[in-house]
Amino acid sequence: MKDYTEIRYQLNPDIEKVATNILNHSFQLLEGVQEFFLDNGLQVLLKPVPTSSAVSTWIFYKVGSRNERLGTTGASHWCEHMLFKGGGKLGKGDVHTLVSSEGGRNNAFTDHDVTAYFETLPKDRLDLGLFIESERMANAAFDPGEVDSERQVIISEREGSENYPQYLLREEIYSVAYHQHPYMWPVVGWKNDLRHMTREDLYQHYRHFYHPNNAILVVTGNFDPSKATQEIRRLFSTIPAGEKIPNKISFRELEQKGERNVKLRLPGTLNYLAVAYHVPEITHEDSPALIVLSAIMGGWRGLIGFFGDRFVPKTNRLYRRLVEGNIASEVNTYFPVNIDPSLLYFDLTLNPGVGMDTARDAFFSEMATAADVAPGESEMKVASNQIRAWHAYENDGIGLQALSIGYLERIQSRALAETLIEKSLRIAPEEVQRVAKRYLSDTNRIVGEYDSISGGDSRVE
Amino acid sequence: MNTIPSAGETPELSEQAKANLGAMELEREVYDNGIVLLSNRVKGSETIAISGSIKAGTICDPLGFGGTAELASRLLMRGTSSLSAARISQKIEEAGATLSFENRDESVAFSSRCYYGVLDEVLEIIGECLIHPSFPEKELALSKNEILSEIKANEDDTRSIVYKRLAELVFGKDAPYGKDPLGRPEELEKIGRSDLMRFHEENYLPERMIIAMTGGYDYDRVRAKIDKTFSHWKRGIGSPFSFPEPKTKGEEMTSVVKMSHKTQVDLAFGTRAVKRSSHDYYPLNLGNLVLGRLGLYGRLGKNVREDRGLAYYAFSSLQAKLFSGLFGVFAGVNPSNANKAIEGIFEELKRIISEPIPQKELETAKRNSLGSLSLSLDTSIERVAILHDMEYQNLGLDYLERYPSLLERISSEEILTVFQKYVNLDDLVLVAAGPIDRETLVVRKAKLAG
Repeated sequence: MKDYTEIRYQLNPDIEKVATNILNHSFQLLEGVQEFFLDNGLQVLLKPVPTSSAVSTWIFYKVGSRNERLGTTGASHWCEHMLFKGGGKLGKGDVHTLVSSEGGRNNAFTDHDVTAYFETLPKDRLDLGLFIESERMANAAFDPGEVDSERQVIISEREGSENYPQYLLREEIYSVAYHQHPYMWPVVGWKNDLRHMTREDLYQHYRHFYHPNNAILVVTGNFDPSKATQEIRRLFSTIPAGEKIPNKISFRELEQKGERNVKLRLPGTLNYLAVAYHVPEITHEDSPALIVLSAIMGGWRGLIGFFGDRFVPKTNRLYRRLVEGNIASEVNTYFPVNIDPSLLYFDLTLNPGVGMDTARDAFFSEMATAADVAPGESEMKVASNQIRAWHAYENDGIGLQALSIGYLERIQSRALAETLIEKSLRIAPEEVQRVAKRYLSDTNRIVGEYDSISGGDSRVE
Repeated sequence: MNTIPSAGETPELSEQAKANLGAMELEREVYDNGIVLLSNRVKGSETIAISGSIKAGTICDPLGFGGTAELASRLLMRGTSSLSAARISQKIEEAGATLSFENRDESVAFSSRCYYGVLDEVLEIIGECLIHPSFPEKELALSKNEILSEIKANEDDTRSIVYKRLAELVFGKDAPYGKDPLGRPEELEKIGRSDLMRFHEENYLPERMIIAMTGGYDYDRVRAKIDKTFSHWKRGIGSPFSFPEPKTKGEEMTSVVKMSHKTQVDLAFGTRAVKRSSHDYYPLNLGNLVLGRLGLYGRLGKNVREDRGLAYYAFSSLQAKLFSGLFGVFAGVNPSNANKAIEGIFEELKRIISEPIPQKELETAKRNSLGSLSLSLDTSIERVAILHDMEYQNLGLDYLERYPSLLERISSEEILTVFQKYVNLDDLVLVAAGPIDRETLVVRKAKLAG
């Protein structure tokens, strides 16, 4: 267990005991994790949790929208959908039926850097999760009829998002933030690509990226590691290795030379402001200080951020200035955990009657203050305690633990969370000021405005 | 290791799942002032999850003052007789804890996460917020603005519109469960601090409070701490929390909000259903699982999404509340596919009200229901929510143990009977929001229902 008592700054005596308790007795994500590789390159991580009544099987493929090209944007996400459509020993819909009939849960997601699938099942049914994932890895059918049927489902998924102003603004901001890097397009893909992509495009994408040496298998929960190892070998070792895919991609953005702007004038009822700043890859040495900066500016809700909770942090600077200052009804901060340089993203929902200039001025003045003055002890204290505590909260249960382990292993290392947290607790206030000055500059930002115009024909009929 | 069952086999209810449900260590305490504590102690866990409620939700809004419950709940953490809003947030966040209050139609729910070492402090803050809120004028103005902004945002949100309009049409827009918890701008405007103080005095009562906890704590110590924190809070002298089952319903059967600037149409069909304590709840809920939940949205998902490729989502829901309930079907589609999606939805509705569910499908639903409840106990957040609901819905401490037998006795015929009782295709309310005309939908629905 790590000792966090020697952190950089001192705590107030009245909560020192409490804080030390939090820092020293936090959740250990990696306790008991066993690792091995199959001959075909499949990386396996097992975390037995004997107190659980369930077992969670996750597989992470090292592919996401980052690995796509214009013309086939959204291919990774579409492939994810096709892996529910059968192939090999699995018929269409079997994944849901098999898991449902055991009372289990299953799903999948695609992001910039990764595509992941999971099945959480009663503890005696680990074999089922492993069976499903072995079939998916080797034998997905990509039946042409199913590809076409799924085309409209995915377009519908995209269109559902298009109904939201915040989504439209985010899509625009990402598309101008990058000149080359594939983070510029949405994970779901551009609609025109979705209309024209072929079955062959998708199947090629699947065959190129779905093989054992481009995947990480994670199992958490109540299982016998030796039996699990045996079953994993039986199901996965016959799947041939694929072409080794370099983790680096050829696109590297040049430094942004000046502020970029996006303005949307569309029908709506409220105005929205979003501002993104280029920040380095999560493995960069500045990331721990950026985590603390992000927490101080907008509050902290976990590193990976999948854990749902209605808690709204209120001691942070943006909440105090913008929400308590009656400028915005909501302000959100998104800290990125990505392989390549990404965006620290803020969005604001403006109160009715508040002008865009007022919101911009208030927001930018907070950013300028962060660059001008090092944060105080009280802010550092709140940030540290929240960062450490949320590490436990966002790993509640075997499913979320498997997600953290696999996701972070894909990004760089499963130890990434604890490394970043440990380093962030030792960050000096001056370091936070330094990264604020370096990254929260006007030349490094992309500003998006959604200016709602009346005249939409919303009417009750 | 087991062999992989084919999708066609009929498995039996898992003995393991049954055992898991009966294995939780539960304790219950009723304090003199009526507060109920439910506890599930988990050895070795250093974090604690709290889920609680107080029956002071939208249903309690005074006539003509819609939004009072919402405002009151938002102001609980915005200042008390001894702590400012800033101090409350500072204490919670310094302690590495979380705390939130959320207004619902019947109650105000609260939830918290914290480490064991700060539990006393968190309980003290919860007590302070619930018992001694001061509803400062400045914070009241701020919260009103927040709510007005949300009302505006919801007016441009197709999904939010169909949920809100469906409840209005099914229950009546001024009836309990039919009204918008956020209230109406003209009513919000006139709510003052004294209204909130009165609302608090009449509705924030200890006998309406439940607190459920799970984590690695000393039960006796927690019990004593809650006693110390809340025992001075006196029972109310008003009437008990009871509302007649709503009989009214909206006058309209169809509501279409045309929004040409949107891309997708959100659709909802719905009708009045059962309250949670009804005997019909369990068969209706199991049938709902088959119709629109199981796997990827059950039969509705298979028909509308998997087979026809028309929508990203199409599902059904059953909200069974204390005094009534709502059954609904929801889908999001491109306007050019709306009529085909409605056809698919009606096909499945007709099937569920005319044919018994095949035995194999029924068994799958039962196994799913049992197994998913068992899996929910794996995370502290879900476990504590279940614990809270057991008390809130008066299900009894042995509910988890009884659950397998409650399921096992449900037959396909019983499900058919309850669906025929509650779902009449001619009486289904239709709501749509998005780029679509009313005329198209109304005609289509009438044809299909007939």
